[in-house]
Amino acid sequence: MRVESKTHWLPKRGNKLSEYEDAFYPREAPRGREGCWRFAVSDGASEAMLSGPWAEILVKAFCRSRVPVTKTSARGIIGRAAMAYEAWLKEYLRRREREGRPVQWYEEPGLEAGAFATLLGLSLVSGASGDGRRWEAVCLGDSCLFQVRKNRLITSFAMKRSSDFSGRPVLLSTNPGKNRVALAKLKVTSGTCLPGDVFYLMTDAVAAWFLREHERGGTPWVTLEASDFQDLVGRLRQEGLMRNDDVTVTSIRVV
Amino acid sequence: MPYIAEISRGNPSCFLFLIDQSGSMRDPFGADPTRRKADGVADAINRLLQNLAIKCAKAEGVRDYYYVGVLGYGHRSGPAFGGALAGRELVPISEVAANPARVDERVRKVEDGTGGLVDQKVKFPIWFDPVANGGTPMCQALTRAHSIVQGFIAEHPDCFPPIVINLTDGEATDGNPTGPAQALQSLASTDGNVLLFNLHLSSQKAAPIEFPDSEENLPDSYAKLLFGISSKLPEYMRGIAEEEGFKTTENTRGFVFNGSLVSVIRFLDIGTRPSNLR
Repeated sequence: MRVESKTHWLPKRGNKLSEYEDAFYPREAPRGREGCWRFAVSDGASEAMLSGPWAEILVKAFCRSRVPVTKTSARGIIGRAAMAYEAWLKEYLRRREREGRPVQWYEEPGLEAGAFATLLGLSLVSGASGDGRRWEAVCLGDSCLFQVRKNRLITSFAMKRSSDFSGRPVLLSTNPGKNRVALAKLKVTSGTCLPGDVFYLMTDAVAAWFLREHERGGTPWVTLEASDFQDLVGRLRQEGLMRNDDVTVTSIRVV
Repeated sequence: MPYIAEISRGNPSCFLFLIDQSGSMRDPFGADPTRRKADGVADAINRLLQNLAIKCAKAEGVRDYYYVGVLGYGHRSGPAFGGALAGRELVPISEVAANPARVDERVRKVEDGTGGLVDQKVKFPIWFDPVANGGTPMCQALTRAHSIVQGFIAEHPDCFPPIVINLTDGEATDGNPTGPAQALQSLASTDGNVLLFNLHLSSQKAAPIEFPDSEENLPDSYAKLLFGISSKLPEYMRGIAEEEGFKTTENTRGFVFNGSLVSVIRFLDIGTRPSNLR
């Protein structure tokens, strides 16, 4: 068994590519036939400062872990990510000083408040019996995992309906002291996948559209596969069918 | 449905504050005899500008989601920013952030972690100093606001509608403000009409009347006049007001009568909270 993966992403309409605050990992499709493959997406909260780098640290921390996905292991990953962010922030502040751009008064409250992001991670585990392969996933916030088999949506995690999107998702903070409530809402799930299955990891704007289309009886995965991503997102935003947000879709086909 | 336009650097919105600087602003608030109204309002506006800059700050700098102006009206009327921004009518928020007239240090109480409080020095940028002198030429201020906002909408026809907030403690001394106020409210972008909110500050101890939805319980004809020239709250703002514990209906207006400093700060927070920053 092997997997083929690709990721499409776009910043908000009107923003530069460098202002994209979602994150995904790995950046390139994994090679090799066997092993434990991990994928993650994260949505950095635009209202906070430095959420993009925090999202980046979270997806890497998940994908570089090798322990089975459980609530306990996920908490450990998030804790280590927060420590990695602390180190990153120190270096960032030093760099700002070196470049003659010290932190200004209007940045201080945002830096003090910390960065916030969602996390969705998928692990395809080796060694399952028969034709199938076990998968495990962890989710905190409103990024979504979908599994499509034979043109049918068979898994929708953690959001089930388009109406579940509140616009105020649970978010992970870079400050571990603020994560008690969020961590209580951490969700893990698992299942089996077969050759031909496709997984999609999505951030909220595109996931909400995906679920809405499915509720209308549509097959949004077909639309996604058949369209130029940039054209599709541009059109959906124009027609008011997708919120103008950073969008990320990682698709993983089990071969 | 109006008042849903995205606020972005490509499609910014605008806040314009009209500040009564008449002589009576020297009097204290009824609910706080130690605080002159002019000082309280200056602090509230400076804090609001500070918060707005903080909300628009990203790692690469302050994003120009808003253009902001402060017009004073009293003995002298006109743009009221101090320092490098003196004389400017509308200023992008990044320039506001970069150019306070000065940065004061103030002391605030913070928890010390062991149940006590300690003093902590905080930076307090100042753009606008209190003034209290002369009459209340409100009609003149509303007319000038009309011309400023009209210019902004001409440049940003699809913007989230500009919000004009008038803070006053007395009756206009240059005529009936209803005409100029209605002219201002009749301006519109493709996303809705300009919003005009009125905050009346009181030297009396009477309880503030906040976000009324009819003029029935207003005490006098002056209060009714200000109610009449205050815009209804758009739906998203009703949501914010409800979250803050105010009951609202579709007729609720952006109006405070007999306002205390607390009610003024609360109103400014609700009236300027971003709806849809991108």
